[in-house]
Amino acid sequence: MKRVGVVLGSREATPLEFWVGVEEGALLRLDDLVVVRAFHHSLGEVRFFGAVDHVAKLHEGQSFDTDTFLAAEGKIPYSLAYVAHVSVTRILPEEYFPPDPGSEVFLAEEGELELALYYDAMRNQRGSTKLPVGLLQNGAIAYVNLEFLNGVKGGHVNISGISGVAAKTSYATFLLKSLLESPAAEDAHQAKVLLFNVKGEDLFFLDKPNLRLKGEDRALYEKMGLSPEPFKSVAFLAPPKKEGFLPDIDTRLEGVSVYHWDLAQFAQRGLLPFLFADRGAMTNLGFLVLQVTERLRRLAEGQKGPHLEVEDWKDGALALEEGIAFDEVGRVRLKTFGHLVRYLEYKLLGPEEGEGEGDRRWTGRQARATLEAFVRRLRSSVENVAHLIRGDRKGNPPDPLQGAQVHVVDLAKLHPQAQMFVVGALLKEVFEKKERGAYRGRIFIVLDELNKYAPRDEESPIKDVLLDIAERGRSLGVILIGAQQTASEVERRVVANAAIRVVGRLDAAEAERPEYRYLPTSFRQRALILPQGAVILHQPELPVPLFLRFPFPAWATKREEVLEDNSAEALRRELF
Amino acid sequence: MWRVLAWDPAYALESPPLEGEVQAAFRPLEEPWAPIGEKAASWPLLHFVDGRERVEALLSDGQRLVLLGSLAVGAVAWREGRMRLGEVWVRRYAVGAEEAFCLGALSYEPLPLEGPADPQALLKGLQEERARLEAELARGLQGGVVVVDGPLRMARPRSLGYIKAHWARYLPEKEQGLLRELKPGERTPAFLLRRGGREVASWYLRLPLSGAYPPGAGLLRVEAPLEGFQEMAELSLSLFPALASHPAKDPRAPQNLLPTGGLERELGRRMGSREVVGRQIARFLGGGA
Repeated sequence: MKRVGVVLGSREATPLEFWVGVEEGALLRLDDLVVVRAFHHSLGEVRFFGAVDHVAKLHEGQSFDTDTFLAAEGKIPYSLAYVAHVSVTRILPEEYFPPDPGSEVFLAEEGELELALYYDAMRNQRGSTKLPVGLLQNGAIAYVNLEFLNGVKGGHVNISGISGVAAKTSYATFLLKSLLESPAAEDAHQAKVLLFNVKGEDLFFLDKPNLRLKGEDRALYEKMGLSPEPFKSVAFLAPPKKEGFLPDIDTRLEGVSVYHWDLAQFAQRGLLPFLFADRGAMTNLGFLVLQVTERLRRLAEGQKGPHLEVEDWKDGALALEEGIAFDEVGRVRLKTFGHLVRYLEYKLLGPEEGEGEGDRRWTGRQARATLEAFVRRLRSSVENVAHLIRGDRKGNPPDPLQGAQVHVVDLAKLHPQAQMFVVGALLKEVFEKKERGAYRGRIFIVLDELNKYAPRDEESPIKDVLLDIAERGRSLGVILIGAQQTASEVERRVVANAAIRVVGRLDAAEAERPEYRYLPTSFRQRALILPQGAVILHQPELPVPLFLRFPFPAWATKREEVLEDNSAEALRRELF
Repeated sequence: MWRVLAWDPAYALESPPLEGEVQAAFRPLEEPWAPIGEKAASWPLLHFVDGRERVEALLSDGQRLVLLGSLAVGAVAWREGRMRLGEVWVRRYAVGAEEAFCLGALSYEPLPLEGPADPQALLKGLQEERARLEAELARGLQGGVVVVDGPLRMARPRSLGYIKAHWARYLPEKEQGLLRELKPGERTPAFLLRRGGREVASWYLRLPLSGAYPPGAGLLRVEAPLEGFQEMAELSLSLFPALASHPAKDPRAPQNLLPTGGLERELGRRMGSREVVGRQIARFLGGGA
């Protein structure tokens, strides 16, 4: 055991925090874990475990700041004080009396480090539930209790941090790596992952080794019991280009499939509300959306798609103009989202010529102004989503519960309205399937920019789904790994339900907001200067956050990082 | 000549310097009698020795008086550009007592006095013990030059004593005039000084002063053993001006040297909190000291 100093008597020593005088030659840094043995004749030995959250040096007894110059010039003797503040993480046995000033302070190592960080409590009947989540400053592996991540005792992760410092996405993918590979996660083979790619094409190389991965990074992975390899079972899905059926992706040319919904799926699955992300703006509109959704569902009953067939569109002239085909029995075939919108316009507002009336079964007795607003909004969405909701080809919406273990769904180039639609539609489907018990394994959903999907001050159907996931998801095995630049702009209940909170580098103003009060002051200050590859992680069992480093991604995060496989075998595959 | 004392009168009057009778004949050791500015280029290993005393209680049993006091003496060493605290001794004495006083964790050794134990004599007894301890500590210091606060009382080659307050006059009228002509960083030639049967070399030097001071201020009288006094004199010109304290920080500036000031602070600290000591004494000796 390494002695580093003594408990100070010049400042209060309490059961929850105390100061340590660091002795000459010893080193005590922020985040170091220490242990103090105290003794009381009626209690016996009590051990105080704690984490250092403040360290300072100063020249003692100098009454003038300028005395330091004299000391540095060798003109006066000085006494250098090196002190550290310790926040107690654990007391064993739990006797809350203060340690004696002068008590020896030791670095907590191995067994005692595990006690200080509650690792000993991270187990269940079947064994250890220690999930590696990074490395502590002293090089030891940092763990969280898997049961707080997989929904047993708690669930959900929330990651905050400014963009571009490689914290949010990198850490989320690292966490996934650990969740899928760590021996603690015994049912990992059943787990599925849905990753939304919101910016660039960062996530489109998850299955490719990273050529910048160095030997020491590999060693870090191996130290944590993880393989320094890319993800093995990944499906990449991208929206089609606005024209045609090619995936709208620039950097990855192979292995990407196109996703879209066909009109029948759109109607049957009731996806219309996800086109109205700002539903809250007009309450009546909300009722109308539900009414039309329901009518569409009935309309599509029994239809196979991809197009929708309608019998009651009598507006022949218009149909011709739009190039809509009539089949043999006079039914109209809606082949594009634009057609559907025109049809809805007809059903709600009546024939174009004259002040017609809409179909009462569709209008739901809403005022004409509401109906017009609805149609207007719908019409403006055609440009944004027509390539995602189409009637000319069988739909292929992403189904993260089938096939590959990891599904990467690209949203980056979509219009915000289309992004809302995709996220809302997918989350709803996944959640409903889990509710029905259609899939046994857990599903982890990684979604960045939560502030957009679950904003604090607005209503939206996606926010409803996210709230549902946040509040009920953990018992259903739907775990949200959400991320955002600013937690203060995200619906409180979504953040509050995350058992594990992670903070990357923060903006100075953001760090002062109440959302981060769970971090002690020193951690909030450090959040402003966090280097790349470091995060602060807070977990329920541990009263202090942990400062973690995590290894460089073993998978490429951009085209240039892909380690090309130039073996003869690979070339042959490529060429023939 | 009149002048304002630059130091806090409380310090100046606290304890007059312990000097013996002044010699009658003046004998210069260097010629001619003119300012000298030559100084040593570098410093050897230096030891600064100083002490502090503190009266903690005056006890009486109705007939006798006993003074409880603490002494702290210590040294700082200058070596290779850094000033380090060396040895520090802290002693507690019951001056005028025949037996030790043990008050809890505090223990006062007896320090019997010859003659009547009036308060002045008790205080003097404590001060003499301090001087003895300082000399003892200085004797134990290995190598280098020892710098003591006050007149030189030990027979150690390569040592310097410096006197901040000038109560006695050593120079005849004619030579005394030179003191006013000294510029900062200059000294008078050395002269012989005989005290208590010992002969030492002594000279005056002027410390640099900032701010408004009367013409005669900033004088320091330095003593060194006769043997090798030249080296000490050159060293003194390089040493004392560099280590002179600043009036904003030390009421005894500039004569109280920086390391000595630092050492005194440390010695005060090592003697323990006066309040804690006072409470302890009150607890054991029945309220009131």
